[in-house]
Amino acid sequence: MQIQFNTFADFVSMGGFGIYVWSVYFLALGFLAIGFLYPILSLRKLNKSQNLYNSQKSTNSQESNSKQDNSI
Amino acid sequence: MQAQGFKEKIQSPIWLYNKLNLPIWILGSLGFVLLVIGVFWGLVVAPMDAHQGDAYRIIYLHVPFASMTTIIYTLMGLFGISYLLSKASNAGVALLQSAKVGAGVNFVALISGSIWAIPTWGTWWVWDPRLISVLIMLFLYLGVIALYTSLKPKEVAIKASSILAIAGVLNIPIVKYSVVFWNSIHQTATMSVEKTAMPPSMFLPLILCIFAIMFLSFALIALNIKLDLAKKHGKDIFNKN
Repeated sequence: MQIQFNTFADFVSMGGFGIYVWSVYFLALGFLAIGFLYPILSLRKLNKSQNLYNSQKSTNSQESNSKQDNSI
Repeated sequence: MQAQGFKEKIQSPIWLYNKLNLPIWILGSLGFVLLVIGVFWGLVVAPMDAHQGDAYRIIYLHVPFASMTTIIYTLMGLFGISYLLSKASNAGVALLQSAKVGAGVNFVALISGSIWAIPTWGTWWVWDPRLISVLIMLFLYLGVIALYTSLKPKEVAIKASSILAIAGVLNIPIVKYSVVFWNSIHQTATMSVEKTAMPPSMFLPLILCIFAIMFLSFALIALNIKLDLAKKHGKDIFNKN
């Protein structure tokens, strides 16, 4: 097992095929990165907005309860 | 009784949402580790090909994505069958999300193949049986998504997309054997159960990458199912957790 390239420039150039090799790796790994990030961030956002809704709802119900107590 | 309980559970969006967490973590992390090792091995350590030079290193992503195109389609067909048999909405969600991920994977397989074809075939596209059958598979994925999202009522939409998904399974053997039955510019299978056309130093990173993309694709489908369920049943799901 040994590294096949002498310099970093050789590695980037891929024997003259760098443009083809790197565009495929960029496309495929980019697809995976966006594919994972989009649902993870959307789920986080949904969770947050639901928590916010719940906390607002509980605050509103507490306020209305205290108003009812005062009126009594 | 137990089977009845499981049937009820699997039809519950909240139960499915919670049960998907562990598989997503296991498949996602295992796939990520395998992908890092496989890509490093394939790009840096594997020897150069005698005929194609370093251009052949595209194989470490093109072949895994191309393999997953048919595997995800088979999975989608199975979700279609399970919807038609059970009418469970979760099966419909899984059908749509596997179609979306499958279309993306299919697109990457086609584009990466076209890019690889430029230095090896001298053209980015030929009307070859393998390429045509994979393109048809992309249209089938898009057709399933279109039927699912455009038809009303929802039950009819899921039923129609399930039927298309199941009918499209017929295309899988055509994709697989297109390079055997017809005179094709596309090379025959690099590996089979009996033998491989590559030495182990080139073949092992390819196996790692195939398993990596398989695990990551399944994790991606599961993650998208979770998102779909959260969008539809967010109130129940987040309040129960």
